Amino acid sequence: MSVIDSILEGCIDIHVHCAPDPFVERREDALQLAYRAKQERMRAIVLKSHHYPTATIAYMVNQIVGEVQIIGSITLNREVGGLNPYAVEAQARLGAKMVWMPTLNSIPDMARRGEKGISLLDEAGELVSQVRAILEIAKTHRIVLGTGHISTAEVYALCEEVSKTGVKLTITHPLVHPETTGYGNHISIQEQKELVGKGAIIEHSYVSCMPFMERTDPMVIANAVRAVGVEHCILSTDFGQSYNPPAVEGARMMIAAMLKCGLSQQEVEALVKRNPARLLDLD
Amino acid sequence: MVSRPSKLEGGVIGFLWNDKPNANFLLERFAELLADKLKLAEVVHCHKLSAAEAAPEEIINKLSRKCNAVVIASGDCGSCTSYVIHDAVELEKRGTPTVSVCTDEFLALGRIEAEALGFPPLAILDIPHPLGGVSMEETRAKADQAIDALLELLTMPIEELKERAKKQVDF
Repeated sequence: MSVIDSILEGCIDIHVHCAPDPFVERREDALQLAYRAKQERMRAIVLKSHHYPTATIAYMVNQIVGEVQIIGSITLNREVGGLNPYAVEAQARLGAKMVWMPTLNSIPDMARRGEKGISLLDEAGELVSQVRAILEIAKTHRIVLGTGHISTAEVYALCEEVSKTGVKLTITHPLVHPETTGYGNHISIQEQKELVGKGAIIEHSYVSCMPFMERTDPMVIANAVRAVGVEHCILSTDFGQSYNPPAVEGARMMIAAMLKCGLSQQEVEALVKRNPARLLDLD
Repeated sequence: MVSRPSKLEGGVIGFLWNDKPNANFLLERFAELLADKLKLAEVVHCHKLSAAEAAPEEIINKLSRKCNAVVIASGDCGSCTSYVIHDAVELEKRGTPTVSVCTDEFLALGRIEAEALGFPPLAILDIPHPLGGVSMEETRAKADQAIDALLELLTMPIEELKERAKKQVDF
């Protein structure tokens, strides 16, 4: 077995989109994704949808496929009522392990379309009560929060609050350049270091390296990991787009690219196995 | 990676079309040109129905059994590039030298997939993007422009392929 295959075996991808999707074509559905992941002996995949909660899909797929663990999540966009603690509570009870803050309906994404987004902050710059309620649920059920596409001010406010509660927080694809991609929010390396200092975990997504995306040089990700510290980072694919390879192939390429960029086998294993396992309480 | 034959004159070359638009015209033109230049005994055309999946094993086995080398096209999107490389790797594993044709936009993706599958020096011929959406004449012109490079790749020693791969994508 090659080093790449041995890293892929047991790999955890915390960010994969699947079909069906109400607005765009997706590469594969959760069942196809799970079978492919099982074939490569991956350990777990978190299903993400911008539009609907995925815990029940994950439950059903796990009944059918097995061996690979499919994990549900919820993204707090308009379709679930935005910052809706009731939706989060239900997903938590159904086994979801991740809650993403608003993505396509975040303030930055909506502002680019000339619309008002869902804000985590009130007029005084304080977290709104719904976010605090969601934090309580996350703490009780040991759910991980992801920043999604929220603004830097919101990221900092959320991270500050999270650091007091012990809830785990991932900073979602911080290297993205929204002026190129049209989504997300760029968080600088210096800001990443500050957020990590408060306990956050940095989630780098390999999808930005794809030809139809940002064409990020994989070395940029590798260098960001080195700058912030391997122990504070996770690699995900964020695959699922119809024009990109299947997520499992994305994971394989991501591993190969990081090794080629000079990260050691042990470091890559930390990024795709140990750190995500710790994040999701899988060990 | 298997060694390349030093000569393909009088041999059999296979062409695997992955159903991408215009890739069939590209391969047909390559076949015409190679048949003429190499006085091939036979050309073998195969077609897989989904660019986003690996070729069925019977197609891979048939090409491997009958051909001295195989040309695969085209990698001009994410999924199709990934599976062009997968198909090439399956053929190389069976001892059949390959050349994978990708557009330059997807060369880096193809190279990293080859690396990920344990075949870093895999021969990838890059042609100008796009391939889909252009006329048949333009497609055939792309083949005409790339034929010398294809010929070179079909017989290129592995050491040279390794050097070439490093130059194509070096990060």
